[in-house]
Amino acid sequence: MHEPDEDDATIIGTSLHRPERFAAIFDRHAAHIQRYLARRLGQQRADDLVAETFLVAFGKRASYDLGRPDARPWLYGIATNLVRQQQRAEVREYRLRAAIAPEPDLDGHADRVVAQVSAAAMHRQLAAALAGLSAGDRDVLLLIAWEGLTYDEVTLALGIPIGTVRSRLNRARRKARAALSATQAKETANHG
Amino acid sequence: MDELALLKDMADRTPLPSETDLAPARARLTALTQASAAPPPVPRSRRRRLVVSGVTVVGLAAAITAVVSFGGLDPVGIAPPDADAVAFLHQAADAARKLPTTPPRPDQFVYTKSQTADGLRETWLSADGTHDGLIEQERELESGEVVLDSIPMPGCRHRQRKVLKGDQDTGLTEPCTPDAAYRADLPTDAAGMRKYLGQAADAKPKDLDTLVHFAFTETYVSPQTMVALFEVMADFPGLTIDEDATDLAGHPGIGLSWPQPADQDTVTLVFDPHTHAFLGMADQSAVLEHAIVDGAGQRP
Repeated sequence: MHEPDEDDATIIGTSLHRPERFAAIFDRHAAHIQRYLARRLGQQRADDLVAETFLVAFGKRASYDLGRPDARPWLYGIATNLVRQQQRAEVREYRLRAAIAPEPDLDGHADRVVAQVSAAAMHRQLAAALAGLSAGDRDVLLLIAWEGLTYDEVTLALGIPIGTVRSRLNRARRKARAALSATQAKETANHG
Repeated sequence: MDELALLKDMADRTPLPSETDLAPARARLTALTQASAAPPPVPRSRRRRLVVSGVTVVGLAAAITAVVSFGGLDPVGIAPPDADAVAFLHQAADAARKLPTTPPRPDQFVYTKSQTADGLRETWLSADGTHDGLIEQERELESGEVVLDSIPMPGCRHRQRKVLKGDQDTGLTEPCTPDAAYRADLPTDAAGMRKYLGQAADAKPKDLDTLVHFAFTETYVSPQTMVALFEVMADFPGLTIDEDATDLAGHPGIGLSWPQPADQDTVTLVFDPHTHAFLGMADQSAVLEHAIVDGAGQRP
């Protein structure tokens, strides 16, 4: 049980001599970390790695900066490191998504079906583009686009300066845009 | 839609996991936090010589290895081990030498029932690591309701283990090596044990603490290995003894403790003063039952 208005830093500080208190950090953040891991590596690996993330975090809790009331960026950083270790698996996952077309909802109106097929095609192109990014660019892009972290939170998560966050994001977005306009051009050509 | 919005769209299909989905991961974390648990300092009473005899059980190694895993102790300023504590351990070793050695068969399971901060915990771990085991752990929800998490532990057969999501079999397998609950690999003499623990200290603290809990606390360790552990413990600098310790279930016993690194309080292992049984760590755990059974889910 933890006080609802205790911030993460207080809980982590207490956990240094009362280790069982650290479970409260899991209760607050594990769902989002698991979903982030599932988005990057699929559900099976995510279930294993969310546990690993918190085991690692627990082991490192003595070095947590107690001036940061929100531990979620720190946890994203640990999870991202674990994803890096699985990089080949991640790239395979995106290639898989790029190759498989999700079933459109064929009960829908014809225009909606066309829109869904187009969205699916763009998702596939995006997945292929993600597979082609460098690990550092992909980490920044996905923490911002998928997890909604701010630039400042990304610097905390990844331990890089804010200028690097900006330049990696810009490069990643350029590549994603290039992938999409290639798809859109193809779609326009196909559907007239 | 711009590329960021489309990316977000791509990810929106992924659901947030439920508490039940996350229960196995949470159980792995609490296993680790309990293995690392440091109870509040226990007031020391006058130390007396103890007369002890009886049998010993596993769990001791957990704390020893946990100590070693914190990167060793700074010997400066730490007293030599308390003579009564050393005597207790030597007598425990003598008692352990007299135990019959009847290890579990490979197809049997090591059963442990313990009281933890989250509630009751029962584990059935495959003696040779190839059979499917089980963990049942109580968990208290925010609402105060207590639920029982049933966590299957698939065995590793021919280097492959079933991949489960929650308790659903995904039909997939992953490579593995068997996690045997019968630790036949541990050294059986003090010199070998010192070397083994010294090597383990080079491992990352995360690996070691997880290994400690799953590999020692709920496993079967031969009496010879217990003797070796007791003898190694007797050399720990700053080892002290305390008569007023209790485990989480309130059983009174003898507490053995030694200094921890700067950010940790004293670790106290509680033993039954008559049988030498390891009872648990004060305020953190209590081993209620420890036995060999034929099937996962069976109680002795």
